[in-house]
Amino acid sequence: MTTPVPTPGGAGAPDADPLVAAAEAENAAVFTYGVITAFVAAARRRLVADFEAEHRARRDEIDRAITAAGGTPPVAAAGYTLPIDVTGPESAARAALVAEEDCATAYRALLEQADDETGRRIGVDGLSESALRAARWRVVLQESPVTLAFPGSPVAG
Amino acid sequence: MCRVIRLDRRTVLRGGLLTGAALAGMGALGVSGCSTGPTEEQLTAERLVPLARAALADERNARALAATEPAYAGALAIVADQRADHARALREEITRLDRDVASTIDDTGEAGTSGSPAPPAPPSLVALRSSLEQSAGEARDVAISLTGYPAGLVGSVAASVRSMREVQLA
Repeated sequence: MTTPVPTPGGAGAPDADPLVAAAEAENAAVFTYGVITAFVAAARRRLVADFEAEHRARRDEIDRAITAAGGTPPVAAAGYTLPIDVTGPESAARAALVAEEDCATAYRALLEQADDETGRRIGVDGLSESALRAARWRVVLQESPVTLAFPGSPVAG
Repeated sequence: MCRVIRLDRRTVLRGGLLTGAALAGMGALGVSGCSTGPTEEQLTAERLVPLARAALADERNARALAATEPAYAGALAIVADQRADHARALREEITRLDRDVASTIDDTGEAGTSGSPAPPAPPSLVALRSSLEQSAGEARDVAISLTGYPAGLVGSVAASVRSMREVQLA
């Protein structure tokens, strides 16, 4: 999992609000794509830029939903500890895959816990997008199967 | 309250002994208007049935196609396996919610579907892609309309099916 680098006085406990947790997962994904762009093959820079833009758009949508509900969107951490040491194209793709799987998990939790249709729509669409990007990274990594039967599921599968 | 009446209804259906207490409970709930309509669990189970049937149909078609589309044989085998996983998980959840509804999953030619069992069109990649697109869209809509675990399960199925269509069978 991609975790925020602890900051003095920063919140440490995981957020109970599933919308906030999804925003945090998106912030971590945006950070991850920012790191890996320097390591992926030149032919994949465009893919990374497109995927990062999708994450930003989704994060902004969640932030608006949090604000509309009277909450305060989480501030992105200054840095995140990636679960993988990114040193080249393969580890870059693996880090991206982990970020997508983290997002998928957050979106499935949001889908299960949201008490309104707006939250569930963000949940199912975010889950679908993350599953799709994860499948594309598995193609890059030549992993099989490239799709999962139950993306975002706490148990693998 | 509705959950209690659902169990009582099952007791009746199974021919079990209806106790005086249960009868009294049914009477009280009847006054509240709760016993006349379907339960929340039953309604949720009924929304999952078409998704389970679609998963079974996609599985069948993907398996049949794997033999005739060598370029996609590997992808089609995975699509078939994962649609079978979907059907299994949906059937489990429907059974947990309402056993009587679960017994309708394998019914075909019911009112509301085709009247007489028409021979299914021969499977094709084009038709399977289109069916997966439809399945993903329907699962998405159902997920948004449900809550809790069923919403998460169905949303996960929607995400899986969309990635099958757009990556496995691209």
